[in-house]
Amino acid sequence: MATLLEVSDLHVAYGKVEAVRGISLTVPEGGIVAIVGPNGAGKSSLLNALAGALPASGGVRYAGRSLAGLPVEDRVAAGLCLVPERRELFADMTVSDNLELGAFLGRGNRRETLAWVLEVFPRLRERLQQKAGTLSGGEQQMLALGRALLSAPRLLMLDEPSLGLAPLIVREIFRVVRQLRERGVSLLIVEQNARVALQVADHAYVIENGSVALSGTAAELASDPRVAAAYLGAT
Amino acid sequence: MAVPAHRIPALVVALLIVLAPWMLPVWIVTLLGYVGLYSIVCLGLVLLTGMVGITSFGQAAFVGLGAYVSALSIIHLGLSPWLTLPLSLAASGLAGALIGWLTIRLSGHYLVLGTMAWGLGLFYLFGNLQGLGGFNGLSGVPRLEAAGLSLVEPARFMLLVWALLAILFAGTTTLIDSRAGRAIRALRDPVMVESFGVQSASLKLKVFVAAALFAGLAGWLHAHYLGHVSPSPFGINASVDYLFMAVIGGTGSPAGAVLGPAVVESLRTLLRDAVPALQGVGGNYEAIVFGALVILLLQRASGGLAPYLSRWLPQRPPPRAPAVAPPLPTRKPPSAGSALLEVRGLGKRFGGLVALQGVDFNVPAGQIVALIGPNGAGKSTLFNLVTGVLPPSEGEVRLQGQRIDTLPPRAIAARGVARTFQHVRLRANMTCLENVAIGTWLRGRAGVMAGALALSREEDAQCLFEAQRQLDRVGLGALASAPAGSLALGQQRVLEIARALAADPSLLMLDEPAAGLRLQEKQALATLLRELKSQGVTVLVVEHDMDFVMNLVDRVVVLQFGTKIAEGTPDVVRRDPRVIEAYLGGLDD
Amino acid sequence: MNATIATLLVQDGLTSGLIYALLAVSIVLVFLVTRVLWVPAGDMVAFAALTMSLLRQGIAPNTVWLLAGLGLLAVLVQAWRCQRSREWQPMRGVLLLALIPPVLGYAITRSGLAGADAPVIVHALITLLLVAPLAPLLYLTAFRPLAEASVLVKLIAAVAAHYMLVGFGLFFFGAEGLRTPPFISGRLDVGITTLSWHLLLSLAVSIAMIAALWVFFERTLWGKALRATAINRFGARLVGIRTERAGLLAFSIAGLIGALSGLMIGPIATIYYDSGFLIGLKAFIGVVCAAMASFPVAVLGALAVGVFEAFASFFASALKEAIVFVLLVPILLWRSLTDHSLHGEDD
Repeated sequence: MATLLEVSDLHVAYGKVEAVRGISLTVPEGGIVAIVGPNGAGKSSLLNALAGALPASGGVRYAGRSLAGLPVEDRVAAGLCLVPERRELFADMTVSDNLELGAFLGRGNRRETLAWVLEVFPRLRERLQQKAGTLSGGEQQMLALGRALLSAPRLLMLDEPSLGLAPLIVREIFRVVRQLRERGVSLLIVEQNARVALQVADHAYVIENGSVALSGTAAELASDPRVAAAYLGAT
Repeated sequence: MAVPAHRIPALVVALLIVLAPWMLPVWIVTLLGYVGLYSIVCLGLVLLTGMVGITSFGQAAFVGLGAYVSALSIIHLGLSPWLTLPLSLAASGLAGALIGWLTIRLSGHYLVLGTMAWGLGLFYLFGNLQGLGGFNGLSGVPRLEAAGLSLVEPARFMLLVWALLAILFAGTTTLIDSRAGRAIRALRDPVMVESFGVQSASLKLKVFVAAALFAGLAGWLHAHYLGHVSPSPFGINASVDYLFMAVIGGTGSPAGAVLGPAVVESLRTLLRDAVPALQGVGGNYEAIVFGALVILLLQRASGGLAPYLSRWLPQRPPPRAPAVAPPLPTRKPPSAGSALLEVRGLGKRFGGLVALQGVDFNVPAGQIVALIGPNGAGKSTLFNLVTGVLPPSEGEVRLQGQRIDTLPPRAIAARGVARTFQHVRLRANMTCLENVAIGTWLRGRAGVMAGALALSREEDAQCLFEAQRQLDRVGLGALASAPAGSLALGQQRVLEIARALAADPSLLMLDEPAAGLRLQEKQALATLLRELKSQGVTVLVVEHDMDFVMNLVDRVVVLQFGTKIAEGTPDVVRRDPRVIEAYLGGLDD
Repeated sequence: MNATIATLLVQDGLTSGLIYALLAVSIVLVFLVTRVLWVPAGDMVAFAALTMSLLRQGIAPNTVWLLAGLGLLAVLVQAWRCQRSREWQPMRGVLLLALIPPVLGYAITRSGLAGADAPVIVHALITLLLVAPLAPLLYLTAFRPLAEASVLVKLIAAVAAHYMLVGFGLFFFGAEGLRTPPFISGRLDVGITTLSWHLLLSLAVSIAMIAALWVFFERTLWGKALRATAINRFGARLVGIRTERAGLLAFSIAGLIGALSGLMIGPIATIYYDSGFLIGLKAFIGVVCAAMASFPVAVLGALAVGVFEAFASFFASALKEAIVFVLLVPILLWRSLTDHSLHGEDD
């Protein structure tokens, strides 16, 4: 399988904090890769750096080309999209407008994608004219995901999609996430909730203190006691 | 007596000023007179804009107030010119207090617009009120006389202006190094200084009034030099001029207040006189050149010109702690084992969102207690409730038996709680010693006047001595003179702890001290905290790093979704299935 | 004070109030998208009024040289940027913006097509051509490099830019005040009162402008993109909206609005090279009422300022400015206390 994203020895620092210390990982075309680990481990900084929002040193190759120096907007134009932890929706604008702006760059088949998004997230269809800021947490996450899909991503990065959401909503969202592979979207998911992430991914990395502590297939890691140790400290 | 190297530039300038009337042509002496006058106003701006961060587009109005009050009291009350000085100062001081009280309540760009508003308002009042002579102003203001000598000659006026400037300059530099000066320099971070007991609003007002007084003095001088007052030198253009001069010189240091007007006035004279070809063409070159200069400086060197110049000149040595000093007053330590902090049924709602509910726990004196939980558990909210940043929706917090949940952070600090911050809040440009000294605020008393007049030297020495002692205690003693911004993150977190210890607290509250630290830094921090505990310090730590917490603390309280789900020793908590579930996540399959 | 006088005062107030309202909209727009407080807003108005007056007299306005100079500066700044990033593609757009308006303007004004007897609409279009691009050019030279700076630094830069414009204004326009002859003179009798034709024209133009803006923001993709950038800059970047392009668009709209307002103020007031500041400041009052955020409230606030000013001028003409500005402080206080978006504005 072709490698869509290749990260080599990435270092990310902002201000005084060295958040990422030499992480290397790959995402194959058509794959779903999870990054798990305790809070403060550097997972969000990793995604933000890959999206172009934080300065980073090290190698990042996407679809065969280096991303060095490329700003956020250009990465989106190349199909590398991010749904950030805070979702960053346009709160005063309607659900419909938010989705429309997702297709700002005019990539991909807008009409078909929109129809699909509204089909898998019927709650959004019911609330098309509602202001995004008035939606519940789960609905906002669905909207953020829908908006990102309208940018026709090749590699979609999700930063803590389950954050602050009730288990049922999390289940609904991850059900949709699974279906994205069939639409040709590869996924890189950062999650604090290791169990949920490992259920949906093929391959996973465990990050601790800014570096990779463990890596393997999701199945292997799901039953590995060292994952628990990463969260709760060594016994 | 050896002159300290850093004072030499000032002495050289003083010497040049004194010799100027004999050595330089009259037009330069006149120029120097105006430079001195503007420097007085800009010195106020260095305090107001540079140190506190209040950008003022209204200083010229206070200059005008000083000028008009003096002129009016001579014309209508027949007072002699020197007697009108206290009147001018009183007027600008009072106006400064009133306008300042209103203005500092504004925030951000509203504040700046506010300064424009009253600057303009006063200007129009000057021009339109009956009896003020309208836009032509009032004439016949008598010149100053001292010991029978008229001071109207440029040389004598210039010397008077610079003598006054020298006094104010000395006062300002002394103030900067004093206890009040350190607090003023930290006013850009009101949350931090309030947590150490500083009344930031009243201190800001004092600086505002000081700047108004400086401007009023300049106005008084201006009136008596020209013999005439009219509104035009006191309008918005003049205010903009003063601010631009200060920005060009550099608002970060008193030297900038003198450098700015010197550069601007010299350039102005150059443009006007030395390039006669442009004179007949009409056009406001100064405005164009200075506007462009300011924009360029803002884009490239927002600190102004003074920092560039200071590279070539000997630097002022950073303040040092004395070898010995009598100790500051200390607090009676709580009896070991007594309940130092009690939290009962604490809850907080933000609109419909319940951030915290029914939280109960104790922190016994002499122990380290950790508050842990996954992201979004409510740890920060709880921290903010205990430190007084937010009021609780229900429940209460008691410190040594007394309720503190209704008190503001200042009052809680006075009761003996000191804290650190999740995102380090240090003054990067101040030395480590000065940053830690801020922690001693509540243990001293000297105010702004005492600071400026150097009346509090002893108390300052005590504060610095205590600050050094705390730096030594945490292992950063050798870095006392280093700027806090140059330290690594781990050291900065330790520095914050030293600052908190300098307040002699009964309870030390640490907000995620291990966040972002490398392994060795975390180990060093843990060692320090164990050391502090053995010295009897009580600590409440909020953390999410389990590794860090496990071998360090006596008790652990675990939060999730705003409620307490477990409490006990680290070993017990770590094996608790609910805790494991909370951290690793779970999903019904 | 009787009903007749009151009605006339209200009309006078609305005539100038409409101009303040349009300016207020442009200031809010620029602020929301770029966080620059558009202090030179009034200077656009003054320059447009002066340019129009000169054209109506058959004199070729010097505005074209100001435009050319600023354009040249923008080209130099962009060339320096391109050289550093080795991306030369953006150069094309800047060259077009910087060179076409002054060249075209020069050609037309010196060609004889724009003499004193040319129709008003020709002169109006030339004025727009010469004045509107000043705003985006200022963005490219002064404000884009300050994109990451704090709001206060941007404010000082805006004041400095205004300062420079006034300096240039004296140079290019001279110290004399000018008044444009009205486009349509006389008044319309509607029974209970008479309405000046100019007021009706201003009303028509303003409503058309506001309607056009409404359609732009509510129905076009770039209009929504501008709103999105104003609401959440990071979110906008995440869907591919380049914030610099949004900034340039916002400033261009502001330039157009400023120039249009200048056309309308010319017939009702004598405009000097430095009249811009007070005009802008009055528009600001409306902006502040709206907490820098709401367009409709800004419009209402600015209209109110116009009417208030007309009445204050009637009762106490000398102190009218003092009253208006001193009243600004309590408004600022009210707004500052209730504007929740400020908490988090760290300096």
